[in-house]
Amino acid sequence: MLEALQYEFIRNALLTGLLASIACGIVGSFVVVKRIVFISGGISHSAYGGIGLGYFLGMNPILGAILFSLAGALTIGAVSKKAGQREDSLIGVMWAIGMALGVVFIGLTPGYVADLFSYLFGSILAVPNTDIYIMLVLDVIIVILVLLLFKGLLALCFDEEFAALVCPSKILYLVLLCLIALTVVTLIRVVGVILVIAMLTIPASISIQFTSSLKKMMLMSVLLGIFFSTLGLWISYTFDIASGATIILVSGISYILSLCFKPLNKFRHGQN
Amino acid sequence: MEDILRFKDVWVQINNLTILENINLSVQKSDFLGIIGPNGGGKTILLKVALGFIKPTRGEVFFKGQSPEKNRKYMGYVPQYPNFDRDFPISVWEVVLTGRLGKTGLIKPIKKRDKEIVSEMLEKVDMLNLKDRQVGKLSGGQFQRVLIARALAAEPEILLLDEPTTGIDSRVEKNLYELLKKLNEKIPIIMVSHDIGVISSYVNKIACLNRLLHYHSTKEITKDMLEATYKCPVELIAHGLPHRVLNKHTEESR
Repeated sequence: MLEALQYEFIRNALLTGLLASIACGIVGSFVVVKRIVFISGGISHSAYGGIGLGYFLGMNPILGAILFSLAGALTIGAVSKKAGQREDSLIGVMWAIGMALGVVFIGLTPGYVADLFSYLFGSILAVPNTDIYIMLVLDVIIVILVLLLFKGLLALCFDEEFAALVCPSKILYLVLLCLIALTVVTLIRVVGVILVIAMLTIPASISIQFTSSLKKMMLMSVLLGIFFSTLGLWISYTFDIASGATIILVSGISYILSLCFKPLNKFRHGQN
Repeated sequence: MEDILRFKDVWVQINNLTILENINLSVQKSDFLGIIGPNGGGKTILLKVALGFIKPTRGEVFFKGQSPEKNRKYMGYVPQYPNFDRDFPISVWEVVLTGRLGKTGLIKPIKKRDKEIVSEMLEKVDMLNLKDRQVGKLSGGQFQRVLIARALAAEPEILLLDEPTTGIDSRVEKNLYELLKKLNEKIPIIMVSHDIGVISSYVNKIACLNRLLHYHSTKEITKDMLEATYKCPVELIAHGLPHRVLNKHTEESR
């Protein structure tokens, strides 16, 4: 791996993994404790429509993804809290419409779209510098917003009804969904639209078993994310297999292993 | 005396079902109001209307002279023993600190005064020694007390409690009621319960709710009141202190 570091694309890949891990460790922790994994799936798949639109209009697909995932987040947020809506059906529909729009836009785009698959399954080895800058900006926005609103977001995730008494919880919820949207965009380059959910939730799902505060959970998730993306990258480089899928497999197997260790951890607490 | 909370001809209909019918209620500063009634009688809904979470289909609710949404941060609310995620990584201290959010503001940092109040409220419910414990590792009674401390940390001007003794043993329950009685010296309390017995020895006003509200400005529960509310024959047995209710149907079916 060390000799591989001389290649710019490897350095970019590692940097991409790092930037994505920061976002997904922090925001993924909110997703897991608030149990909104399915909502996050809806948001991430609606981003695909934006990628298609990006191709169609000849602009950077990542910018299109930002636009669509934010729009998806706000739509789900606005409609889902209305009484009498079937929230899960709505999310399922958004999920499908996003993907369908992506396919239609790409179909309308003249010529052959070479890296269509890269957005579906990730292409961490082919990340252009501009996308790294975009990810860096998104990370900065995510970290600043979470630092500013941490108290409110914690209250919201723990008990939404009580949060409504003490803070503008509806707006906070929309902000949280937008944070998820931005995080999804940082992850698309690493693992692709389809595997985003795994990367968003696996590190946090492992951390929650071993931590007792949300801040520690976030820190641990970020570190796990960096570990998984780096290890996955190394394995995929060594054996020449798809990088995004390898990162997810490494994460997924670690999650299963962590479940085996969980009873041990709980037992220790019980003895204290 | 000025009403802190007032329901004026309030109707609530959900999916064309009338849950609350023509509720009129005023709560004054010294009140410790117990609301009893059968399950599904609308007790929780009534509290949620008071909090402004549910808008009345007809009629109006006033809290401090305005609609409840405007002054929500002056209300303390203890929800019915909720099914919180036992894994949630949050400590007792952090839960109670969320109660300060309305006073501190969303973005401003936590001040020394906030910490003092959180300590004080945890002390009040006798939970300060467990302040660093994750909430998932608390017993039902301990958790309920944390939720009361959280509500009090907001320095509320009224306290609303929904079945606060669910899942609590009788010794803790007694302490809890004593605590509420003490709090009632400063703020009015509305407590919803299906436990007719114990409630009547602590509250100073009582109302029976089963869609309609039978309000009585004393704390005496009469046979007629209960029968009007529960819509079935009810027997009152007085053991000196609390009343017990026996349902005649089950007696006869044996």
